[in-house]
Amino acid sequence: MKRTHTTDDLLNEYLDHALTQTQRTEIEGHLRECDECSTRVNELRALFDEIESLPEAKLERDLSKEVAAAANRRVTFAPLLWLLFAAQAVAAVVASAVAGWLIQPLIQQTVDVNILAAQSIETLTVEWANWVSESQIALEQTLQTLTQPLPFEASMLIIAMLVTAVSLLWITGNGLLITSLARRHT
Amino acid sequence: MDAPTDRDLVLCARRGESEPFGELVRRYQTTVFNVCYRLMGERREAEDMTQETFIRALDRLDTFNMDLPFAPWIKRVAANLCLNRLESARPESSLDDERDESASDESPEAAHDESERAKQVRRALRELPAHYRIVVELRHYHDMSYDEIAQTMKIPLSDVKSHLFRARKILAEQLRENREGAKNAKEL
Repeated sequence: MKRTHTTDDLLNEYLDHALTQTQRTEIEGHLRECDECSTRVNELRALFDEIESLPEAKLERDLSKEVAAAANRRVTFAPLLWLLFAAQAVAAVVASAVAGWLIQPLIQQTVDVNILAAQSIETLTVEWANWVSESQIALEQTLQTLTQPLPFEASMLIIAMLVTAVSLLWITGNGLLITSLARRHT
Repeated sequence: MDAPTDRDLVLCARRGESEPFGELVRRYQTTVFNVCYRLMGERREAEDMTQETFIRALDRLDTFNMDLPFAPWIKRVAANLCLNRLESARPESSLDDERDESASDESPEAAHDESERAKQVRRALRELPAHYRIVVELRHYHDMSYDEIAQTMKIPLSDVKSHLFRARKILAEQLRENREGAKNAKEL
């Protein structure tokens, strides 16, 4: 009868204690009878011994002081980090307020220009409508659209929200950069 | 007075006391250094990784389960850090010629042989691909099961087995070649 040898994988698992009790018993029975597999498992066991008997390398200096110093650097860095965050938050709020204050007259100006432009267009289009009576209805509709007042408050709100969002993104981005810098530093 | 246990030291370190953590470093720095040295293969780099391991451990001391021993935990922190470092495709550096310690009661010749054997094992380990080296480290030096290795490395169980078995095959061949080379050199 042809003898079936145990595979390398099973021998590995056997020595790693990763088999069930039934599988172990089966393999041990086979190893008792098969010289070839017995030799292979002994060679593998010798390799295990060789790997595991590697002597400990000696650490030639005490690292505890260096670790403590690195840990202290990390600790002293933390308040600085919080200070930076706080400074950025204050800067962002101030920037939002200043931006809102600066933008308000600009918006008012833009609105005035729009109204003036709309009025001029109204005169022109009325005259032009006399010449081209067919398109009068369409032009009046256009005129109506142009003379509609801009939603000032909504514009201000959108701009203020945009400035705040950009500020928040700026704080978060810088925060991440500073954190990664702090990790590298320690 | 009895020396404080690891558990006592961890408790104090968690409260922010630096001296107890320093004592933990002194107790385990050689163990951690050896994990890093086997994985990184270079003494200077292993020392840096040892420091990084303790800094990382200090950050994560709250995650340490006080019912378990400290040594396996700190070794696992070291192995994980080295694994991350090895995975970040760093250029291979040259292997140190280690002065492996041998038992003092051995004859100089026996000590020399043992040192040579250790050097060969280190060289063979160092020449393994990084993902093979780490499974060997976790199985043979941390005594982890296949499942634990799979969890630590976040890879399937089948990969753990194939990496480990291939790594052993390569190690066996490498060591056999080294032995034959040394034998031939002696005969010449």
